[in-house]
Amino acid sequence: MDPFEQQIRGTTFDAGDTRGEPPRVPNLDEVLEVAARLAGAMNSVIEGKKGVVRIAITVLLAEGHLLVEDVPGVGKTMLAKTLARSIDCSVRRIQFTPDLLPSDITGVSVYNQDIRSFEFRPGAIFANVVVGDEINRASPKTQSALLESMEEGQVTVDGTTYQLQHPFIVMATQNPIEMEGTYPLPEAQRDRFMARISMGYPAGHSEVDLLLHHGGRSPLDDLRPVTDAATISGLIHAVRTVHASSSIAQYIVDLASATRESPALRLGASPRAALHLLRASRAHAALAGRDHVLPDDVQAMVVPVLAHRLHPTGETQMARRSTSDVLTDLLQRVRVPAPRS
Amino acid sequence: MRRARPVDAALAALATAAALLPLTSLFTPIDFVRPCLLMLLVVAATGAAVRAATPLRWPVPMVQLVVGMLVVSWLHGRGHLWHALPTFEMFQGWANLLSDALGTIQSYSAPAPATRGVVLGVTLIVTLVAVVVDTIGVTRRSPAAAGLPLLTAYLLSAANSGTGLAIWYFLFAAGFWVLLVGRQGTTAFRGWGTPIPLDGAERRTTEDALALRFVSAGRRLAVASLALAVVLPMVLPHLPARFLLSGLGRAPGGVGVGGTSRLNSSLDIARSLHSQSQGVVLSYRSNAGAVDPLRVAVLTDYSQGEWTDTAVDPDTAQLDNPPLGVSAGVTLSTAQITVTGNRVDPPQLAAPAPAVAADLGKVKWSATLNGSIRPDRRPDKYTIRYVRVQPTEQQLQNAQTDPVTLADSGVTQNDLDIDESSRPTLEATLAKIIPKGSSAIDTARAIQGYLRSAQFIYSLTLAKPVPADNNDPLVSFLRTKQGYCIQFATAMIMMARNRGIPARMAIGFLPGHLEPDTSWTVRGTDAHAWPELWFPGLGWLRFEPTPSGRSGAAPIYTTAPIADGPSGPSTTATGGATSTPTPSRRPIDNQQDNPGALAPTASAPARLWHGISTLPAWAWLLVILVLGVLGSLALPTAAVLRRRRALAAADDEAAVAEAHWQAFLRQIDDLGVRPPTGSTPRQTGRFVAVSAHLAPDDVERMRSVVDTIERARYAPPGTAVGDLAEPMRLVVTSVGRTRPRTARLRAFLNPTDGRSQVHEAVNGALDAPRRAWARLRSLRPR
Repeated sequence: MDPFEQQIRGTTFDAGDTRGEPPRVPNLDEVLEVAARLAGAMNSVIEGKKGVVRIAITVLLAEGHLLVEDVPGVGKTMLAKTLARSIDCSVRRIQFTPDLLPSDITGVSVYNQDIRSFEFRPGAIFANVVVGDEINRASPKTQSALLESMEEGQVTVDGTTYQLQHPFIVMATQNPIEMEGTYPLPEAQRDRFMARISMGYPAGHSEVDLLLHHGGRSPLDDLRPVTDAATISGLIHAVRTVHASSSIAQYIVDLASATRESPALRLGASPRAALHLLRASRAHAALAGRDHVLPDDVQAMVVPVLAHRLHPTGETQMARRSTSDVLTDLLQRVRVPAPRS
Repeated sequence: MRRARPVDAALAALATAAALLPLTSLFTPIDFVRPCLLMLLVVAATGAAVRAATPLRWPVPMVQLVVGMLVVSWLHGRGHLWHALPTFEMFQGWANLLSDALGTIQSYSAPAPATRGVVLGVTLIVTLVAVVVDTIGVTRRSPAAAGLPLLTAYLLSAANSGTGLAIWYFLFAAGFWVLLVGRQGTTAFRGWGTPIPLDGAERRTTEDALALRFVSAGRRLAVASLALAVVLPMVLPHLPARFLLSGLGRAPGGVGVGGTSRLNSSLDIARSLHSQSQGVVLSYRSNAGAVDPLRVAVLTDYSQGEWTDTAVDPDTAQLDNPPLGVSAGVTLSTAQITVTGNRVDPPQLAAPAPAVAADLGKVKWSATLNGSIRPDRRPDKYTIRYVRVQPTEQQLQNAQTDPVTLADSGVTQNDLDIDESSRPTLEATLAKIIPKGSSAIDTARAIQGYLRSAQFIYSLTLAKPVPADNNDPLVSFLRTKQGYCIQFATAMIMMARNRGIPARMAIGFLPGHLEPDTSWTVRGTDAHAWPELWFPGLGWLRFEPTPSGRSGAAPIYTTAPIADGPSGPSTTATGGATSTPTPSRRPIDNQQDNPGALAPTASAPARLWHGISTLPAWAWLLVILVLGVLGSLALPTAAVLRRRRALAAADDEAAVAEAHWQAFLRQIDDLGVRPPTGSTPRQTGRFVAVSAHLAPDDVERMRSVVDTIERARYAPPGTAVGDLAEPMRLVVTSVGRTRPRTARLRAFLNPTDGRSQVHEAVNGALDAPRRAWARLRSLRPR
């Protein structure tokens, strides 16, 4: 049994314990424990989606941003909101629409008559957790305003740079690009998200439960934070200490270059993608209770981390193979490198 | 049209025709060529038509055979057909014709007359071969395998032609076959291809790399085979042909086991191949411990390299006892053999010489002057009593031939005739080996010793005649020193005659093979020829100039002087077993008389090869067995070496674990458990556990192995790794237990590690000159 799963089972849903703890770098056992609490809380809301929840937590601990992509109505926003609400931190939600302006996100300097000078009004981005709903409904100009701040962790308005809070995670949802009224995210911007997950329809019995139990009021209302921003920040630091040996790095590089050489892909993985993969693998290893990364961790994170960054060739699209299929094939073919002696 | 493959069929037919081309040298006139070509055409066309009509394979040869049969019956069965269909009567006629043909083949040497039966037989054979080649090479599309029937057909026809064939006979057949193979290879290769031309800038995919590897492997293989084909014949000396050709081609009893046999009463000493039938000629029991060759006939007349039996012997009713020419004082011991299952045809009869009494049952017989027995018909069983002449050294030395005593002894001038063309060579040779004026017995011993020395090589194949020898086969033999019993015997006879000793040729059989039930079996391959030399007072004495590898030991009197008087309790005509007098003294300097002694002129390799080629069969088997066992252990040993070396090269715990893990992967791979390429150690462990159905204990061990290797590879430096050798070994054993026995044996005998080790060693050796050169260049001052 996976230690993470064990930990989830043993956790009772108890909110508010961690409030007021001094910020420090916790050890990996603590990572496991807190993450399990978080997962337990989220699972109580999002039923039957343990894998998705786990990836979401992994991305959170790996200090990345999450893109949730699926058809409307399967709980994308719910997932984002659940995660945001499980953590006691500042949460902002932005509903992206075609007329949303960049300044709505980053903030704007307005002239204050009282003090006779410009004053910075922070935008929606100034929060620990930013939920960007239907991000591909905004104009590219607005999208890029968000995405710049995602990468840099700071916002510059009128020549002044404002640091964003830590931890900082953007959870954006988007409809599949074929849907009406959407502006597809450019490759460069998709690359900034660490992982993309797809919710998928709930399994049969989960859907029945959903109808029976969630008919009245939202389970979100009962959800109380199980941890706070400072703890998460500590966990993020702890995850950075997970050891990745040189052969793991080599494996990631091999995988990345395999996507670049694959005849089925027009665009392969960028070095940033490789970096994201390593970070995600570290978090995945930590969630498995290990202090080192295994190739299995890398393999588990390859599809969520890489699939949305790749661009299939026309032939691949014609064959109705998704980039996930191509990546699964590559995993079968790329040898796990032995350490060089 | 693609399925019909008419071009392939044509190539197959051409190859068949070329392979059977040597038949034209076997029969004359060559009337049979036209029907044969017609049959080839018919077979090829029928095959193409049937292939075009149906995708099934099995009807093709059937239809070919039926149509071929029909056409042959139209060609050869005219007058016996019923509405163009063959009748039973026709087949009866064919059977008669074919048995005629068999008789023709057996009684004529090449070229034999092409009688109607021969033409029919050849046509049928050609049809059959054509169908087989077409079926294998074109219908079943395995042209490489079609080489086998082609080679068989070629060997059968080539081996039967008395002389060596010109090289183009082989080149034609081989060339068409190679064309066939090449064409089908190209066709198949094109079938795999894509119609889209490859852009030069296109990336090389793994498939391309794989194909390139095949191409380069094929190229290397071809170069290696070519080099071997050139080098091997240069390095290996001529082995006796009977190892390969035994039983092929001509034989006096060519009908094989169960047939009767008769030795040719004329011998051509220029001919290479010799009686090679494995058929049993007769079997016998002897009351003596040692047995003697069985003589069938005696030949006196020799000319132009051919022995003939022209002298007509007056027949007498009984055998001489004591034998002709043996005077009273000579010690004789008597022995007796009882022959059963005699298959020698009259008027010949195999009997040791000189025979003194014969009991052929109810079969009437007569004796010739030279001591041969001539039965009226073939006796199944008979008993022969014969004597062994055991002369003392004194008697031998005194037995000097002089013309006066010759006249009334049954010895004729024919027994002293020599071919003039070979006289100079004979005299030159004799002058080298024995001074003139030596006693007759010394001369004879010297000749025998010379011929038995290692300078001479026993071979069923004769060396190529030297043109300077005037095509005299005897001169050629004395120069090339390579031949079989007939050449050796002829040489000894002619040399003896040259020195005035009457000599004649005896043909018959070697004693044969001792069966477990103490009877002796004589086969067609035991046919032998030896000289008999006349010594006054002693009669005709058998000599044995053929090297001992073939003929066994020479008679005791022919090799060394023996003590005066018999040393054993041997008595004259006792009817019991003989005793062999033991030589009491043997001159040390008389090396040349010793059959085992090697003349100093013989080269070392020749001696070595002579020694090897005369090894008995069990010794060969043993050597092959030992070599096989050693050879099969080479790869496992190399594998162990390689693993040890890898472990020794590992400098820390993690590297040791890694070396173990790599060895583990290769070992389970050898056992047929192959995890997918991209498997992580953990996935590999799971795969092994599932696919080898490991027991819970072993699953636990597998898990510990995986944990260890994961720690070794991926844990932060300084983590304790642990040892995985022992659980790994146990898991490999358990995996092996779930595999079939053959797979385990294969994994043991042919391990990947062993192959890589050998491969590296070979590559290293091949690369050594280049590296040495590079080092030399780097040493050179600039």
